Amino acid sequence: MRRTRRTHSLLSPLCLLICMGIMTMILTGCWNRRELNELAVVLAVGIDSADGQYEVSVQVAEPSQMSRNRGSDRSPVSIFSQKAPTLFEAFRKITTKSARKMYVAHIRLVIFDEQTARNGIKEPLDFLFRDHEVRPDFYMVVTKGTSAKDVVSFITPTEILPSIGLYKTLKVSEKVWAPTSAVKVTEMLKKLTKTGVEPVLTWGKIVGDVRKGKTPENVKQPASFSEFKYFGVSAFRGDRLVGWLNESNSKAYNYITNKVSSTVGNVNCPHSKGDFVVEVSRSKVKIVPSIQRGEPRIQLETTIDANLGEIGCPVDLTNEATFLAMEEAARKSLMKILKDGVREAQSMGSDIFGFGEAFHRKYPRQWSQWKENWNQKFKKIPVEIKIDYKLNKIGKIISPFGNNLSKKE
Amino acid sequence: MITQQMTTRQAAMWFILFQLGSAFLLLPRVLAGTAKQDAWLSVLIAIGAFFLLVPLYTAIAKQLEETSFSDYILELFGRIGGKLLLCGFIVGYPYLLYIIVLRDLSDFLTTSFITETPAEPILVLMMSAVIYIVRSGAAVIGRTVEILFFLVMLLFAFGYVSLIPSAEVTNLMPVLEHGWNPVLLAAFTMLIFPYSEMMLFLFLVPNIRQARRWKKAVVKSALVSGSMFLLMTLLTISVLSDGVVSNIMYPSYFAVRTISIGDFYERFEVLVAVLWYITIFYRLSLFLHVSVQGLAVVLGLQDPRPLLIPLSLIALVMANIIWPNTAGYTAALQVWPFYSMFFGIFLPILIWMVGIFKRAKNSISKEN
Repeated sequence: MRRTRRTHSLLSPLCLLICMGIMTMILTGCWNRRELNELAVVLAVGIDSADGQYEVSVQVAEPSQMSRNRGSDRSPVSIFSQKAPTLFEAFRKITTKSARKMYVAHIRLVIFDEQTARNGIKEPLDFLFRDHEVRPDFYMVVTKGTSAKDVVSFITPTEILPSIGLYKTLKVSEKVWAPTSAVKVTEMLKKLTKTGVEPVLTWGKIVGDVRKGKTPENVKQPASFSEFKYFGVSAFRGDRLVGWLNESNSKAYNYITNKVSSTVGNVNCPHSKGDFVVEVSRSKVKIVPSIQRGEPRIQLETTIDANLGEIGCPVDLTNEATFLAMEEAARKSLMKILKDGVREAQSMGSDIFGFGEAFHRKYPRQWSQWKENWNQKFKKIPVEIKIDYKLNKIGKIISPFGNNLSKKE
Repeated sequence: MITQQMTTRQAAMWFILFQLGSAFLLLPRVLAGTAKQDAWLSVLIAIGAFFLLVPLYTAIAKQLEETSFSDYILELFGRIGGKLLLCGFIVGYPYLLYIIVLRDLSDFLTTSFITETPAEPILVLMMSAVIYIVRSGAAVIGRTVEILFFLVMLLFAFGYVSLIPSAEVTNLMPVLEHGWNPVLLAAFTMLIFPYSEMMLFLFLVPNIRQARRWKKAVVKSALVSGSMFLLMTLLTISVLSDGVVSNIMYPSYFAVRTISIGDFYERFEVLVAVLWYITIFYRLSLFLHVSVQGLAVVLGLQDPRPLLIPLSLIALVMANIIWPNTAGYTAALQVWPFYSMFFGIFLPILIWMVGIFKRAKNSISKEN
């Protein structure tokens, strides 16, 4: 009885009217909706330090240039830059120059200039972490020599959007070329909170003519006037930049932190002039901490699987002894790279490899004593390197062609 | 008043969603703040400790027999004393929690998604759904929970299984670096919030009919939600490291934000918000259900339904003023376990002992 009456009352015209009224109020859409044509999608942010202030340069995609039948007379992106004491202020001040509000959820790349990185990046990063729109998936890069603004306003070949070009270059080269290392925000965050490991950021610079690189002329002929090139990683202490690692040392960093997925290395031939190239297919480094007479020691246990990729000297690969000699040469060459890399980081006093964390994990008690002056300890820590190097395959041909000829002579 | 029946399965599912509720977003931060990388140990200990509380709750559930929990309190402490105690309890615990959880909801949405929307529309929408379902009764809640439970599990699996590839075990080392004390302290926090809140389930004993079945639902739900918390804590800490987790407002949400697999399997963190919305909904409905049931007994009402709207309207106003700012909230969260402990642990002990005493007295007077 009761139930039938209730269903009836729900369907009564008055009730329906009220429900519809409520629905119209609820279904009005988002409170703070933002239409696509009111947004400027920020793809890259360049942060420069200039007389005590930050100069923020944002690269914004030009929507009209994204369509298929675009006119080629306008640049695909626009750059806005603004000086302000803080980042947030600068972002908001940019609205005085741009017709749209900056939408920062799609930032791919944040670029710091050398001065900002040396002064500490914690401050500028705080806004990027705190703001609800910014996503924790952008890469960070330090630029050497030129300002971040130059890098942001630079025109790249291949990709229409320069920031996507820079982003993809970094991503691709990280996979197949050991010295570069793409550092995402979350990794930076983690390293900033840990005491036993110092952060690194990739560094790069513009090579060539910076002024011409900023004009569309840069991509109007096959060879561009200038390009942005990633060189390696830069070492930090806390949130401050302390030094640049060159290509070989950056390689050592990526080997030791197990970031190498594939790379190639140049090795001198064992008995003759010329080089051969190994392609590393698998590499694993284990950091083994130990304590001897109360002092820390580090052992790096390295396992490498590699293939021969290119041979530039006359060798007879049907002979196993030659092959083993090449393996040994490759091992020695890697040993030198790792040793130099560790020495360089030690001289900078920046534990980018996370040796401290290794002690923290294995010897928490001693670590709590060393934690305070770990940087001093790290500089003097003896590092022993063990390498188990395996050359496996040699590719589609056996010995280099023309070997027989040279033997006849 | 017609008691509405629920199956054990429905009850267990409701309890699981209830426990996930607010804790799902807040717990990892709270635990990692105290126990650092050992937070997962705290989860294990908290669940273990909770099973020590289960016999206590079950004993009370057995004492209840056919009466409801609110009537039982009146029976134990007399009409006046019982009503005072019950009123204090309802206002100080389930109803206060109702207000706090409403605020949690608006805080999360307005910091992470819709920053410019004021809290009221969010709360009004949520509350109208909660009022409607509580009005429909426990049986209806039981049936809806059976549908939405699997959605929650699916979303959980979707969000957190994808975190496994980016987890690094090294972030969980070294184990017990700062000794047992912080671990136990964090475990205590978790035992109180959300586990000791399960004493509110005593109000639902008549809906499940038997104390034995009630116990089964409670144990099952604690096991499921506990393993979900364990997995979540392990994953958030091993993905983000304890230092980061303890400094992020909603780490379990942030962790899902970092997922990016193959450049297309990414940016689905809003699913976590959906998951949370559902769990919060069942949490709120339990609080409101208990509050109106209890207050109806205090006020001598036959039908608790007229209380739904007034209580919710008061809560709507209270939710916005209960703490002045986010910092106040963080401070409140630190003392909360000690406050909540009185209702979650001490009050049940008191009720249980008085119950034994009364029964002994009754049997003696019967013999005489």
